[in-house]
Amino acid sequence: MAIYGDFEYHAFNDIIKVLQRHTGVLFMRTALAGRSVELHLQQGTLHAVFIDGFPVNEPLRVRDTLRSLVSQARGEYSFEVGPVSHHLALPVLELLRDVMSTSDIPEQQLPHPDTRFESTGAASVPENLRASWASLSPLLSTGASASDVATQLRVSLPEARAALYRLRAAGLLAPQRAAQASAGAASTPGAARPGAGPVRRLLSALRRLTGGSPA
Amino acid sequence: MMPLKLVVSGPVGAGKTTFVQTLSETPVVSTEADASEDIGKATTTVAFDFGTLVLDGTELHLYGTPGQDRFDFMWDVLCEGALGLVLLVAGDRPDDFLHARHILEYITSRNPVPFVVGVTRQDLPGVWQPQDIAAYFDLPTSQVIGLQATCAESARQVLIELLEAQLSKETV
Repeated sequence: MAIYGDFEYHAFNDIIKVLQRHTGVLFMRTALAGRSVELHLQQGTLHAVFIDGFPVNEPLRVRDTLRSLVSQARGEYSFEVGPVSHHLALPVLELLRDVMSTSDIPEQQLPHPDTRFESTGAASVPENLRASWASLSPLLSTGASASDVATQLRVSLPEARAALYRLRAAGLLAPQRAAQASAGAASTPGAARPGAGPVRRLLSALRRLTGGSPA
Repeated sequence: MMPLKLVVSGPVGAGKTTFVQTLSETPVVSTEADASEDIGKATTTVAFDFGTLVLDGTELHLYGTPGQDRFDFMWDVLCEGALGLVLLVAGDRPDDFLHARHILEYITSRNPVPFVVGVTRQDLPGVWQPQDIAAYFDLPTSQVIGLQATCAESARQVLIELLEAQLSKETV
C-alpha cells in the first residue's frame, strides 16, 4: 500500500477521506509554515496529533490545527500503516465538516464551473452550512453547476464554486452522473447509446480472448 | 451495423495513447504535437488518438482524448453517443489525481456515458492502489480497476468490467 503526495495538488480533507479505512500515521513534515504534523488515525478516528513532535491534547487546539491544515497545508505527506498513539478519540471527518465552512479553499481545488452536482439526500446539515444549503438546495435537487448557481442566484462564479466545494466536502452533494440521471428518462436527441445486443456480442468475444467463459 | 465507440480520457501521461495502441488492431492514428508548456514529456495528443478493434463482427472505435484542459471541448464531442468511457490515471503520479477527478466529473456530469476508472502502472512498486483511488474519487471500488496499459490482457479486462457493469444495470 502506498499513499503519498503533495498538498500543492491534494486537499487535506480528500486525503483524510481516503484514510478512513486505514490505521496508521499521516506524516506531514512541513505542513504548517514549515512545522511538522503527525496525525494518528485508526479507521476514521483521530487518536493523536503531534506538532514538531509535541502532543496536542486540547480539543480546541486539535480543531484549530485541523482548520489550519484544511486551508494551509503545504508540502509532501505520506501515510504509514502501523500502531498509533492514543491520546484522543475524535471522529475526524465530523471535525472537518465543522471547520470546512470557515476555511479558505485553494482555487485549484474548486470544481470546473460547468461540472454539475446534485443533492445526496444526506439528512444532517452542519450548522455553519445551513444558510448556504437553504439557498442552493432547490437548484441542486435536479442538478446544477457553479455557472448555473452564479447566474440564478446572482453571485460571483468563484463564490458559487466555493459554495459547491464546501457542500460537497460536507457530504451534501455529489457530482451528477448523467448516465444515471437519463437511465429512466426518454432518450436524448444526439446521444443515442448502443443497444444491449452489440454490447453483449463484444463482451462475449472479449471474454473468449481473455480465456473466460463467453456466457 | 454502426461501429461502437469507446472514449479513453485522463490527464497527460496517464497512458491513454498506450492503452489505445495496446487494444487497436490497426495502426493508431495519432495527433501528437510538440508540447507548448512543461507537461513532463516532449509531445502530447492535441485532437485525439484513433484505433479500431473488430470482435465477432462488432467494430469498436477507440478514441483517446487530449489530456490538457485547453482541449476540453473535445471531451464532449468525443463522448457523444459513446458506448463507455475509460478514465485513466497513473498510480505513481498522485499530483495528477485532482485533475483526473475534475476531468471525470466534468465529462460524466454532462454526458450520459457509463464509465470505469483505470489505474495504470500497477506493475511498479509504490503506486497508489485502486481501492484508495476509488475513495479519492468517491466511487465504489468495483468501478476502479488496476491495469498495465502495455498489456493487452489487462486492457481487455478493463473493457470487460465496463461492459459487464453496463449490462448488469440494463438487466436490473
